[in-house]
Amino acid sequence: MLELRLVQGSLLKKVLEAVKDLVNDANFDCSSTGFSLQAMDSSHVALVSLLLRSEGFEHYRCDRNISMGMNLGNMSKMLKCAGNDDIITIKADDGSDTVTFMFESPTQDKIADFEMKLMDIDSEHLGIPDAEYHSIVRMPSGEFSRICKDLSSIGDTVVISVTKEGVKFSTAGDIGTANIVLRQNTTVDKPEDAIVIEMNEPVSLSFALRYMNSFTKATPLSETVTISLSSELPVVVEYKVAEMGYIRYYLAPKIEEEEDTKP
Amino acid sequence: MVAVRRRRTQASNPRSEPPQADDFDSDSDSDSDWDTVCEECNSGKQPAKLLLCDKCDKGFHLFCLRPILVSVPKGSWFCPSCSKHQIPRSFPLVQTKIIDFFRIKRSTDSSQFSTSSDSVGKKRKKTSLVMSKKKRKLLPYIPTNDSQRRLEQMASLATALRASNTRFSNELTYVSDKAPRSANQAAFEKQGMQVLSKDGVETLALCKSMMDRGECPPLMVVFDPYEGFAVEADRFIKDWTIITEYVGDVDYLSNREDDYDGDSMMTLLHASDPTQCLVICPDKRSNIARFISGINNHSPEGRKKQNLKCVRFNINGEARVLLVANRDISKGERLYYDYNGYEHEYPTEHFV
Repeated sequence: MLELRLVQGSLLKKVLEAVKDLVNDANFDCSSTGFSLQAMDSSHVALVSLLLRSEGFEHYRCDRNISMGMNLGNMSKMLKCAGNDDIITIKADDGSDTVTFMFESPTQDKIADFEMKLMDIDSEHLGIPDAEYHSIVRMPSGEFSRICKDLSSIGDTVVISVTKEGVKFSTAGDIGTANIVLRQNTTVDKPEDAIVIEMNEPVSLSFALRYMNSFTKATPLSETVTISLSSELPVVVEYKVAEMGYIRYYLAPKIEEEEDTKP
Repeated sequence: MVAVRRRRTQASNPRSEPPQADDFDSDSDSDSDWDTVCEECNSGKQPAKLLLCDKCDKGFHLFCLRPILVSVPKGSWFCPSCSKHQIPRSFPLVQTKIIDFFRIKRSTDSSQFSTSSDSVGKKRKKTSLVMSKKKRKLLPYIPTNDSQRRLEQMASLATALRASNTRFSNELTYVSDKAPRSANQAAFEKQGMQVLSKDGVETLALCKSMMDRGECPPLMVVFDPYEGFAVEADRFIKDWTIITEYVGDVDYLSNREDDYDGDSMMTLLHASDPTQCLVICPDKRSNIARFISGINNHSPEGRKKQNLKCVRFNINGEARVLLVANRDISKGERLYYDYNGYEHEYPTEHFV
């Protein structure tokens, strides 16, 4: 028996919008820790890892660990029917092959319930180690989204370099090149507007912009985004979800072709 | 409009006439050429070795450049400042996959981190490691929804078959002058042949019945000047999809040893006894499989192109050859498999 009641239902709506374009079908795992999801996109280049901690739910009942396979496109269609202020409850009975989403309006005068069939999705979880990243950049999420959008009109690959000068996003394409440099700036009115760069070691990596643009769909979830980089590791783009969890996107870098010994 | 002769160096062009008074107008540009000096050493000496940038016309001695150039380059040459403005990064960057960095968790909660330079250094690992899901099932292909498009796909196959003087057949054929059906016994296979699971047999039967109804695999046969006939995916194909069965006339390998034309022959049965070895010859009767291209085993890029694998199964005691996708294939991708690999498929259990 599973029953999770989330007062701030809009968070779940935004979470689905943030993942449905990257992943089509995935397993939602419920345990006593919380409600989570880990899935790769179809090309196996990006990985999304979501966690909504049980403490963030008004009511969290999860009798035993279960995995529910859902088509995220369909789940998003149902969640779109919830108002932004609605309270969302996720329910599933033991042994049942469906899940129910219940939306209650805050004034208690409208209650909607949507039942969706679950899928059988065979997937393995990848072990993501806790690594010390060479550089960590925290910046306003809107700024990052804007940068990715602007650069993708010039090229399809972004080179992210962190040096003591700051973080530089560059791209090159048919019409020319573009470079955007952000310097550390903590003297701002609002802490969310600050740009904080923690550089343990300089790093420079290339990534495909189309995945970055999928990641920035999570911008509505958080005012800030944290980008962690390490050479030889995928970049982690993290958006915090209110106080209850996070959504982390991992993107594998593009690396140099191996030198062929051709005459 | 005076055509400006582009000089590569200050050396006088051996074919040109010596400057004459009447030519002064047209050669007015060459006057300024003689004043060019090397940007590095500021001297105009050794004009034969003073190279002019094809963009900014500045001069550089071959020996003043770093790195030193041995001779005047044949193609265009840009000085160090001009060449910096060109696209900085050479484009053949290879996109790695998440699985190259993170490994599958064991069933206990401890996660293993085993990437180090060895796993990241090799970009294209053996494809069997990439699809690391347990108990993967073979999937039937999904034909294109649009019946008009399906007709076009079938027409492309028909054209290719006609061009190769081949008749269409979607099953292995046993003709009188070749091998009889009784010769095809999977039991003869040296080291045994894996048996196709019940699910797989049903999936294959589904594919065959779809074909009978006119729902052909979503593939298009194209003609390429380099590769000859090739096959492209006409819609997204998921990993582990059965694309088609490799069919043709079944013959004994010993009958075909002199056959140099049989470049599309496929090993059907590799028996310990050479007289029992069978091959599939798609020259007279075949389906789309014979047009699928092979990878170049001698080049490192060859393996990267491979998106299908050729697998042999024991189905009801007979050996059969299936072409299965070994990764997700997007629409428009050309299909390639390894002509030289007859693989045995081992269950891929992945514990790091």
